[in-house]
Amino acid sequence: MAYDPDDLRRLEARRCAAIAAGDLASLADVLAGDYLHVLAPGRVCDKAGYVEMIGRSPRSPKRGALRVRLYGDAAIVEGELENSIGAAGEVSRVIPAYCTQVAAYRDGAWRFVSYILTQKRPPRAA
Amino acid sequence: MDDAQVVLALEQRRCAAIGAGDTATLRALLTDDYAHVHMTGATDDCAGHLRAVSERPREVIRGELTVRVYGELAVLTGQQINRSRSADGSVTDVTAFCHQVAVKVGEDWRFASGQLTPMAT
Repeated sequence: MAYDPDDLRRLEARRCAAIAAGDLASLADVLAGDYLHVLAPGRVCDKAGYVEMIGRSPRSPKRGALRVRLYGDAAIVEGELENSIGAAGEVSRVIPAYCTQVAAYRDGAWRFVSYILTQKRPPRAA
Repeated sequence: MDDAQVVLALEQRRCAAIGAGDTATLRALLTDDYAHVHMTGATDDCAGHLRAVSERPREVIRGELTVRVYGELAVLTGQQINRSRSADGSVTDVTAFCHQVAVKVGEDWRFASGQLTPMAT
């Protein structure tokens, strides 16, 4: 089956919109049951833990151009991400980062199965 | 060996190649469009990653690894320690969490993506 890379970009747009709206049901819908999320400090959480974290820590992710690579029924999605932390109108900080995600097509839909975020930092002095 | 075991063996070969500074072997384990994300969030392509390994020798130490296979793609996750030695013999360890994606190229598995994020220690 030939897939459209833009389907993955739309999936990520739905994820970002759900997070910004605090819509946890829509967020859960774009994540697979075995979803694994790697937070910037290297802490790993599962789907339930991630959705719960978003519920108590509002934010709004903004993506740049996304590179999508398809391999059978799975895909790699990657690109810049800017996380505005805090509820709308109460943003406390903006974190620039880079994000790689993996999605899988199962039961007639694409869903994310994993995610890693790395906060952008200046390189260490030599 | 099943696909998960093959991917774990691939990772052992990657770590050995980096530890030996053997960039030719390392190159053979990566796809042409390999994407690498450093702990700083900076990105490299395959050539840039090989250059970085060549310029900054290191030993890569992995802990317990988890592999999940999705047909032609596998996600490998776990802790990684990058150990470097300075001229005076002192050792510096940097601990990160590593998320890698391996894909099936013909009959072989190769890494298409590797991303590190520093771990709070």
